[in-house]
Amino acid sequence: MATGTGKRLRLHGTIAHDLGTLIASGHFKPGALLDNEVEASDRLKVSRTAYREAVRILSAKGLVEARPKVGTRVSPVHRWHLLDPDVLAWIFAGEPDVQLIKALFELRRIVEPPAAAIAAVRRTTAALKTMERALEVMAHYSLANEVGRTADQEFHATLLGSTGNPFLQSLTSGIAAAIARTTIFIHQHRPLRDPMPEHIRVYEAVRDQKPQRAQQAMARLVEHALRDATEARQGKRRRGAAAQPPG
Amino acid sequence: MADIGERVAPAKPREAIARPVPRLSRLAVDRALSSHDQIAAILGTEILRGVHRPGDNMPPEPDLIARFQVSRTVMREVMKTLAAKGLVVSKTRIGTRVREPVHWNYFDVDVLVWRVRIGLDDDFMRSLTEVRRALEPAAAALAAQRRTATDIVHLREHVREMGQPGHSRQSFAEADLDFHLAIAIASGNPLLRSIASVIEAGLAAPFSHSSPIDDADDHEITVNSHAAIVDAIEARDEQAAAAAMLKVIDIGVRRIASSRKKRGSKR
Repeated sequence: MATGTGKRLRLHGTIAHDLGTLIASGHFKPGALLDNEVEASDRLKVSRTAYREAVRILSAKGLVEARPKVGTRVSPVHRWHLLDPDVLAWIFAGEPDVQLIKALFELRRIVEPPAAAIAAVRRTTAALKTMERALEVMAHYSLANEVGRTADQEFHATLLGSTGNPFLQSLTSGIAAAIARTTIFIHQHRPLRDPMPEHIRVYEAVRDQKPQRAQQAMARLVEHALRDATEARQGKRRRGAAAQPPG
Repeated sequence: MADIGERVAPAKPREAIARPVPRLSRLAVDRALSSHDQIAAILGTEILRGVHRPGDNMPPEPDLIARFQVSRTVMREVMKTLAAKGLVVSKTRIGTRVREPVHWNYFDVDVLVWRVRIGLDDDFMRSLTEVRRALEPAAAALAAQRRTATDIVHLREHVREMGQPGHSRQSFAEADLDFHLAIAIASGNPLLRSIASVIEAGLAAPFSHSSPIDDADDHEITVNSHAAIVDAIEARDEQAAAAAMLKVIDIGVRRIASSRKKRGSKR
């Protein structure tokens, strides 16, 4: 590791984050070649090793592809692992694209209702306890608060996790990250509706092992959230009304 | 990724290479696998097999370096790759720990391919069917809503390709999966496309084990049931498109199940 006096080396995670954000925001377009390792590490004031590790992270998430003798190129968007929590975070670091928000909610609307039905059949008592606790925290802090939002994520993650299906579980982290991001985004632009009743309906259906009811309740929950998100976009310009979160 | 076993450092378990995945050779045809990619595949597969268990630490870096005969730099990049796929997490002073399976990213092509190589047990097939039944009819319905004329041309071409005589099991499986990817593209949802392309790349090999081309009637039924999806999409009939897709999935599931039974349902 090269160390210069006063030149603090940054961690690879930060470099990956910075580069990832530059790519996700369109600063580096698909097809563009990244600077070679030597130039890039000099410019960013990081060691070559740290730079290479950062590129490995981006490559593992589908954002870039390194080829011998050619260099590292930004991959087309459809190769990006769009459900990876980091990739989503990088995309949402800028102004999130309205098309992508819609696509995320569309995916939630497709995946979460049938997942809730499966969870209603397979849920364990331990998972029920976790979901119940998450709802209590959510009710107490509301989604205006980071703690409340984390609890919301935990509720949905536990629910998808109860399916016992690794594919649905893998969608968990991506969708959970998306929920957190869009919730923050929504909250910046308009007051939040009380999300508790629809969450409680989902919880009760899963607890009572009623797959159909769970499916319908989850469909309604996602529908409401989508409406909030789209209205937040539309209402953005006439922002300024007091954003008083529900208790 | 197909020939992972050939040129790897000594002292690695041979069983990591259960069967070839010719599909991926098409994707990676122009590059030899780097030692980084090979070691990531071996360690990734070992994690999925439970050789390194969730919550446990990975073997110490010096041991891994000795085992694979590579530099520390390469070893660290491998760990970064495995971390990016959700398999491990590195903590200062604690080391690199295997994460719980809920964090493993099954929508990463490598992870899926490694998992498929270990073997297709009943749990895996059930999970795959569940997620396909959730996603693909919905994708077909969205395609019916949004399809362009070009989408229809592409979908018809894929169906014609599937109907060609003289397919190998592998080439039919590829044509079949290309069709399903085209539906995801026509859905207009980039996330569905991203998911479908992973499933497509990872599953061609296992799917070719239960091919309808072994039987002329079966082949015809399969092709026609796919054509029915395109008809519904062209007619912009969302419900019919979803129903036709569900039917295609269930026909495939039944065929895989009966072929597994015949082959003695091995793990």
